[in-house]
Order: sequence, then C-alpha cells, then structure tokens
Amino acid sequence: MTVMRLPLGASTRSSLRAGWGLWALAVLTTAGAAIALPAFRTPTSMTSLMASLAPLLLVATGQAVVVLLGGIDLSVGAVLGLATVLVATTESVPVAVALALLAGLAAGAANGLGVLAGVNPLIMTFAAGGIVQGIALLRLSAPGGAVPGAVIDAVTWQAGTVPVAFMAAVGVLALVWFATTQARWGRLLQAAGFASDNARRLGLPVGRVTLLAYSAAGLLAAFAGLAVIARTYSGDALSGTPFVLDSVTAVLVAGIALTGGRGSVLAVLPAAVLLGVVDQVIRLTGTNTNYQFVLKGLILIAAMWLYQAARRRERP
Amino acid sequence: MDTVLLECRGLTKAFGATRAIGDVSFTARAGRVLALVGENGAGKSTLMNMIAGSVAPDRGEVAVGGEPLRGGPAAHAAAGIAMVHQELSLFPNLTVAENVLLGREPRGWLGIDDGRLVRRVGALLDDLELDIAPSAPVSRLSPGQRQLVEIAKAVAVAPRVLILDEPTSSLENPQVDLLYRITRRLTDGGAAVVLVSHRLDELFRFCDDVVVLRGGVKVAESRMSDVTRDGLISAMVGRDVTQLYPPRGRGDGTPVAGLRGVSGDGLHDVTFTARAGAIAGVAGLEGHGQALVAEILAGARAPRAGTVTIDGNPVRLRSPRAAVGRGIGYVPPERRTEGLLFGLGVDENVTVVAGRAVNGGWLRRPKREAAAVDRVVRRLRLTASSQRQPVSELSGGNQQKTLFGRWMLHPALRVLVLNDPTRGVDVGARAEIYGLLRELADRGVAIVLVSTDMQELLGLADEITVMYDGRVTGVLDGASATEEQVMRLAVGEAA
Amino acid sequence: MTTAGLPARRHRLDPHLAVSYALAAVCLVLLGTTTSRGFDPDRILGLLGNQAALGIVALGQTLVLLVRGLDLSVGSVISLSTVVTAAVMDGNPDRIAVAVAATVALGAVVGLANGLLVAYAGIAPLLVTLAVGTIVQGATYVYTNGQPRGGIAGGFRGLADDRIAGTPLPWSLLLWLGVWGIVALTLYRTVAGRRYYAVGANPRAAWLSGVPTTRHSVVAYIASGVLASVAGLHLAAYTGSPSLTVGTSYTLMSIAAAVIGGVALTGGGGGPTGTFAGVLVLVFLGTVLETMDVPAAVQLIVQGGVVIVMMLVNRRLDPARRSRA
Repeated sequence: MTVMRLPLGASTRSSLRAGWGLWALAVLTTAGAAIALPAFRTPTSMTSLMASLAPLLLVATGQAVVVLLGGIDLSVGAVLGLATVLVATTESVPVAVALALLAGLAAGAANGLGVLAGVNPLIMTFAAGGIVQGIALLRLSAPGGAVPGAVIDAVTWQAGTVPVAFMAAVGVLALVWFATTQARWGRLLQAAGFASDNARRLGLPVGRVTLLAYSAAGLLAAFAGLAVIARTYSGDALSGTPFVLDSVTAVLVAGIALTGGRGSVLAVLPAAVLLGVVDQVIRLTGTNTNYQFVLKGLILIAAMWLYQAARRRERP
Repeated sequence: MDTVLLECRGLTKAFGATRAIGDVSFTARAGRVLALVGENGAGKSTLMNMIAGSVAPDRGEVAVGGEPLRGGPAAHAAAGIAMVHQELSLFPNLTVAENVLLGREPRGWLGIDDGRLVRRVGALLDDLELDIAPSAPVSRLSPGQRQLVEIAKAVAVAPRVLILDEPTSSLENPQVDLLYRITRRLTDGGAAVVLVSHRLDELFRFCDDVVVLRGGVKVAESRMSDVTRDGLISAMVGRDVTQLYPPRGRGDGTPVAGLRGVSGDGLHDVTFTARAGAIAGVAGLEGHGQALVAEILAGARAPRAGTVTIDGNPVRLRSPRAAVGRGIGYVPPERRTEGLLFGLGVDENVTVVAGRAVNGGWLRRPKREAAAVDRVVRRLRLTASSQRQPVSELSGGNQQKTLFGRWMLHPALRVLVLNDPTRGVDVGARAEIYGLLRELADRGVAIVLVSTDMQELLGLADEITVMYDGRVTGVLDGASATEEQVMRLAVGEAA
Repeated sequence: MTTAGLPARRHRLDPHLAVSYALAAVCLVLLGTTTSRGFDPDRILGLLGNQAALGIVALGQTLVLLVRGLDLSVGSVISLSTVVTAAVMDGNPDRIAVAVAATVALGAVVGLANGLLVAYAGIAPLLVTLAVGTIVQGATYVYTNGQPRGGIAGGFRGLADDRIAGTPLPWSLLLWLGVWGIVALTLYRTVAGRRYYAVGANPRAAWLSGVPTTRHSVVAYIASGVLASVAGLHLAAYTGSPSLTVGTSYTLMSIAAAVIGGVALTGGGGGPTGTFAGVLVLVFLGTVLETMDVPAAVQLIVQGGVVIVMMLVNRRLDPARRSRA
C-alpha cells in the first residue's frame, strides 16, 4: 500500500508543474525548425546548438538565482569576459582555471557585499561590470591570447554529438534548481526575494543568502567563460557582452518575476532552448543576423507582456 | 503561578536627540496577560522591540526568569521571547506550512521533508482550532487568517513570553474569540503574554494587568480590574477626553453622490447615498465590500455593473482624477502605501491635490503656497519642525492629518470618502479628526465614512449603511442605532 | 486655533547636493593641478561644451529616474540619431532643419514606445528599455547594413566646434545649459513639476490624489528619448560622422551622472541640479585620466568605483531611501 514518494516540497512540485506551456513551446519550436529546415536537423547543427546553449544556460542559471532574490546581475557579461581572458593569458592549466573561477566568485561576492551595503543591485552590478571589464581589458586589450591546449581539449570534448559543456551546464542547472527548491537555503531565497526587509526583521540570515546568490551568479558566469572558450579558442574581454541581455531574457521568458520570490530555475532550460533555436534558425536561413537584436527585443517584450497579463488575471 | 517571568529594569533609549523611552521598569508574570497601552508615539513599539531584542537599550536591561539577556534578537528568542509584529511578516509566495517553520523545516534525505512539514504544521493548526489548510498559499488567505497564521507561527516555538502588537486589527469577532482562547492556553501553560492594542474592549476582556506609557515614560501600572475605561483613557492622553465625538449636526438631506445598483467584484446590487452636510457611515466586518464602495466612489475602481451618481445623474469616473475634478476626495486606509508621498515634505503632501488652485495657475508662487500650507497646519494643529519636514518623520496622527489637509485645500470639495481614517491613530488625534469631519459636514460636505470600528460609526455617523457579503443589509439612523442592531446586520441576520 | 504655524523653509543644505558639488570641486582642483593650463576657464568651458551630449542625456535619464523609471535605451537612441541625422542631411546644409526634426521626432517615438509599454503594459522599465534599446540597435544595423551613409553638413558642425561670437562660451554648452534650464524650471517652478515628484515618491498615492500618473511617466520617457536624440545631434556635429556604436557608453554614463548627483533610484529624490554636478565629476575625472595617459580600461574601473562609492554615500545620507537587497 505504501507508495514510495519522493519527499519533494510543495514549491518543488509546483515548479515542476508550472512552465509546462513553456516546455511545450520549446519542444514545438525545435520540432518545427527540424521539420522545416533540413540544415537544422543535421548532427553538426545540433552539436553547435548545444555548444552555444552551454554558456547561456550557465549564465542564465546564475541570473535566475539573483532574480529570484529580487536582484539582477548586469556584471555577468564582464565576468564571463574576464574568465576567458584569464584562461587565455595564464600558462599553467590548473592555475588558469582556478584563477578564472576565483575571479568570478570574487566579483559575485563583491556584488553581494555592495547590495548588502544598500547599493541598488542594478547600479552595483552595472558599475562592478565596468570595473571587471576594465581589469579584463588591462590584461588583454584585444581578443586573442593563447588558451592552453589542455583546456580546449577538455571543454570541447563530446560524447557522440553532445558536447560535454552542454551536459555540464544542464547538470549545473538541475543542481541549482534542486537547491533553490529543496534546501532551506532556497526557501530563504524565495522568502528574502519576495520581501527582504521582512525577512531581515524576522532574523533570517538574509545576508548569507544574498552573498551566496550573487557569488553563485559570478561563479557560474566564470564557468560560462570556459564554455565560450570551447567555441572561440581565445580570450576576449568583450565576449560576454551579449550574455547580459540574453541571460535576463532567458530568465524572464522562464517566468521568473523580476520582483523576486516567484518562479522556477528549472524553467530556464526551455527558455534558453527557445532562444537558442531561434538564433540557430536565423543563422541557418542566412537571414541578416542584425535581425537577431530586433527579434530578441521583441521576444523579451512579448514574454513580459504575457506574464504581466497572466499575473493581472490572477489578482482579482 | 504568579512568578515574575519577564522583567524590564530601567530601560532607556534615545534616537538622536529625541528620547523614546525613559527609565521604564515593569514586570510580566507567568500565567497573566499584561496590557501595554499608550497613544501613538508613547514609545510602545520601541519598548517592545527592546524586549524582542531588535533594539538595544541605551541603559537598563531585559531579564527572563531572572536572567538578564545579552545579545540581539537571537538571544532573546532563545530565552523564549516571541513577538507578533503589527505589520504582517508572512511571505505570500510561500504556503502556510512553509511560513510557519521557515528556516526550521524538518529535513529528510532529499533536503526539506515536505510531508513532515505539512503534518507538523497541520497538527499545530488543528491544536489551535484554526481552520486553515497548511499547504494553502498565504496569498489566498484573508487578512484575518493571515494574522492567525502569524500568531500560530509565534506559538509554534512554545514561547515563555509572547508579545502581541495590535493582533486584532484585522480580525473579525469570532477570530478574536479564537485569539482569546489561544492566549489563555498559553498563560495556563505558564507563559506570560504582553498585549498591545488600541481597542479598549479587548484590553478589558483579555488582560489581567496594565502598564500605561505616555511620552516614553511609565505613568501607571495596575491590575486591569482596578481601572475604568475613562481612567485608562485619561492616563493615556494625560487630559480628560470626556467627549470623543462631536455633537451631531443636521444634514440638509440633498443627495450629492452615491451608487445605484452596483454589482461585480463581490458586490451585489449596492445602492448608497451620501447627503450634503451629513456623515454617511458604511459598516461591516472586514472584507464585506465596504472598501469597494469607497474605491468606486473615489474613482479608483470602475463598477462592473450599475452606476455612480452625482446630483442624481449617472456619471462615469474613469480615474480618481475624474472624481477629484467633480469634488470627490478620498482618504485611503493604508497611510504608508496609498496615502503619503513618503520621502516628500508636509508642504508637498498637502498641496498635491490642489496645486493649481493654491498657486492660482500652473506657475508656482512659493509665498501663496506657504500661506495655504500654513492655514492647513494651523487648522489641523499639525506638529512638525517645518513645512518641509518629510512626512516619514511625523507621528502616525500627524501623518493622518496631512492626508486630510490635502483635501481641505480642494477649492470645491463636495464629498470626502474615508476608509478607516483612524486606524492606528491615538485617542487624542482621533478626537480632533472626528471634530474636523463634523466641521466639514456642517460646511455642506458629504462625508462617507467606511469603518470597521463600530463605536466610531455609532458615535459619529448620521446614517449607517451596513454591508454583509457584498450586499447592503440595512440602513440605520445613526443617532438611534445600537451596536447590537449593526452587528446583526453585519453578520447577515435580518434586523 | 492657537497652534502656531510652521516655518516655511528649513535653511539646511541638501546633503546630497553638498556632497556631489564638493566632489565636483575636488575633481576640478585635480584637473587644475595635474594638467597644464588646468584652471584656464577657456579650456574648462571647451571641455564642458565637448561633453554637452552627456549633460543632456543625463538630464533625460534624471527625469525618468525621478518617476521610478530607468532608460537603458538612450545609448541606442544616440547612435541611431547620428545615423539618421547623417542620412537625412547627406552633407547638404539646406537639409539641416529637416534632419534635426526627423532625428528628434524619432527620439520622441522611441521614448513614446518605452513610455507606453511601461505605463500601460505594466512591464518593468529595466526590461522595456533594455528590449527597446536592443530593437533600436538592431534596427540601426539593419537600416545601415553595418555601413552608415550620408554626411554631416559643415555648417552643422559649428554646433560642436564654434563658440558664441565674442564670448568663450561654446554653442554646445549653451545648448546644454538651455536644456538644463527648461528641465529645472519645469520641475522646480511649476505645479506640474511638483506633481511629477509626487508620482516618483508614491505613484499609487499620487494617482489617488488625482495626479495623472501614467501621463507623467509617458512624458518622462518621451523627454528622455528626445534628449537622447539631441545628444546624438551634438555627437554627430562633434565627430562629423555617423556611428553605430558612439552612443553605447552613454547609457552607463548617464545613470552614473544622475547617481553621483544624488538622484534616488527609488524615485522622487534628487533632480537636475544634482545631476549637473554628477556630469561635472565625470567630465573632469575623465579628462584628468585621459591627460595622464591612463588606458581607457582604467577609466572604466575608476568610473565604476566612483558610482559604487557614491551610492554608498547617498545611502548613508538618507537611510529612508532604502534600496531593495
């Protein structure tokens, strides 16, 4: 009679349920592209799609955590860039990777400390992004450098057609999703994200949660830098720039409210897939790539409009 | 069971140059409920925050069971002090169970064990006789239910000292009974309860002892049975407030504004009339549609069906702006979030409605503006350091006065709609506000007073419209109505 | 009624203004002592004139911030403006008026789009302006196909290069001060300006008091779009050629100037007077770093640092203005 049930929390289960529409949309779009475009369904195209998704997934996962906390991280692009630069300008492989990840962690922690000191997250991460980018440009003023061969081998390794970077990114996303829903830390994240003053007054460790969230975002952005190297084979201080908008778009398409406390990290996966497929289709059809900007902007506005309308309906 | 559990010794606290609390000592005994009363600004919040550990005293100490407490809120909580704040501190994006045990969730092999969490909180709610599902999202609960969950959350830690700050402000009568039973159970179990409330009825019903604060100093301490209502009020105010309510006037009876057959959003065929020169009260328990009536009249909400009428003619109020243009003013219930321009000064708050009229055009004339603000300030006896003092620095009563002030400058005010205008306002300021409302009415303004405070309506209104479940269940004459009549209509029984 | 009235004014200096102008003064001293001819008024006026674009776009940003908004599209609008101006003018002095009108109109349209989406669709300003900015940038690229056409008429360049006859005052500085004057007069000296602050301080309360809040918001974004396009006009005159990327850095810089000037991101605090000081700080500091031959990267670092420090200082000065963690 006893059914073995996973002791998943209510919010974990609801986050599994929510966003099914988004999953459906992502699957349908991918299927549609595969049917309409022969070039899309080739293994090469699939591999390249997954490889391009890896850094986006990593950055967007970190962004999602910060947005759940009611903040935002506009420094992820600069941190990503710095990570590629550090790897491309350091000879020893372990030192290079350690340095890149530590830099991400440090930048994230600095953001967290600034926010805790009362600086508006937007301004804090905007300004910190400027500083990080400056540091990266000082170290490597033009794209290039020499990425150690071992690093390239590691990050470009594929299991069949699936790049290891993509698998790692999905794994990290799943792990972070689980932490945000099943760990006490995640519950606190949701609470503090919804009303930080309130959480603070209740004596909940808001400081620790905030620090952890921003540090995670920084660390994941640095990881994403490694995934970018898998595609560019070089260091570039500015290589992260598009990821700021892309990660925010992915998080919002995923339905995570910018006001904090509502949404699921898991939904970032279909959202990122959706964006990635659209990009890939534009590339493959030879459409003027400048339309990408226009399209991304429109997607962001459309997604926000839809979610806003849905939330308005919820509230009588 | 009369041992001293909580002891405050010589607590003193100053914020900058202002003394909030001066040398206050008192004790709360096991098995007893202590009332802590005083006007707004008397220092109750500061005192309670010191007991809860979130404010450190400049001098003096708090002791539980004879042990002086050191350290912040965590140390005080560890000593068994729990506090229910006036502003609700639940997270609407989480469920009841998740809120009650937030940060203390039972854990299984996969992080938080939700099954055990729900069962534990369910057992607690059952035990307290609260009919609330533990897995319900807090966002779906009524304000009263939220308040009860808040209390359950405090009780969940089995406190030795429970501090309740205005716990009944959004409770309905049956829920107040529940709260009464909960506090009694705690005291029977040997805990001490400290209750802060503005509702005298409840204080007399709930409490065994009373401490009165005025201006940050303890001015009285006694057994509740040894004091009278009037005695308590004069101790709080420091002067005799024999007449809280002004004498009634006579409305000339001309209908000015009203609703005709309004339905939707939970309202059912509501018809209501406000007459020039009269105070029209709207009574009901929290959440039975009175707030909607106020918002619709103020243009803040459009009726789904039915019309708003002005001088007998149907009108469409598209926004508060349209209502203001027709001489309808609105004082919303939530001072902080809906009423005040928080970072701005008294002057900007007072002139926001009638800036054009005050300045005589679209260009500002600072002297005229200052003179107009001065008139309002004098009339309302508003206390502030200057016209430009930010309203965030004012006391609750003075903040409420600035809200009235902005409508006094309206050049052609015909209707003033008020929703719970005296919530959290002390007795002294309350009497002044009542006087002002009557004065406005005597000058021909139609006053619409929505309130959950029955005494206030019975004392002030010329006519009381009672609502239940979105319907008007009766209209009573204010001078002759009794509390029982209003209550019967408010719970849906025929009068 | 025996109660006394209240003094109409508190004779107390706004601490935010004091700090930002003190910082501007420090930067001026730094400029004067570290560079040759440092205190030469002629040079300082020339410097400020060259940066009129920043001064103007920062005013637009301030207007938006005051009503709890944010405009991240100004950079794209500036770039678009230089491209459109050059394309319409096509080097022909007779077409200056048409080009200016077209550019400003386009800025207004972008601002209107931002404003409508924020005020009526209820989408967060950060996202609306980020998205609209991206769309504008994309549209600029699509329109030019990466290669801006046309040219700036020589006469139009006088806006950036020439000084008002007989004075050391550059025309561009006059333009900036003129815009500043209009914004400041409207905010400080009209009833609408007062209401504008009310919208920023508490939109719901302002709305309930009969203030047309959505209209104020939309006007803010239109003004920001228009001012960004005016900044684009100045940059087109200054550089003499259209550019797809010239505006990019102005998004951050305009916010930085407002923040350094003490404008609250939570709305309703600060104003054009503070922002003016913020621009001075950025201009003087930038010039000092440039003349010291510091790489552009270090300038980024210094700017970011100044912004963070000023945010911390502002918070210190005014604990009531708490930002969300």
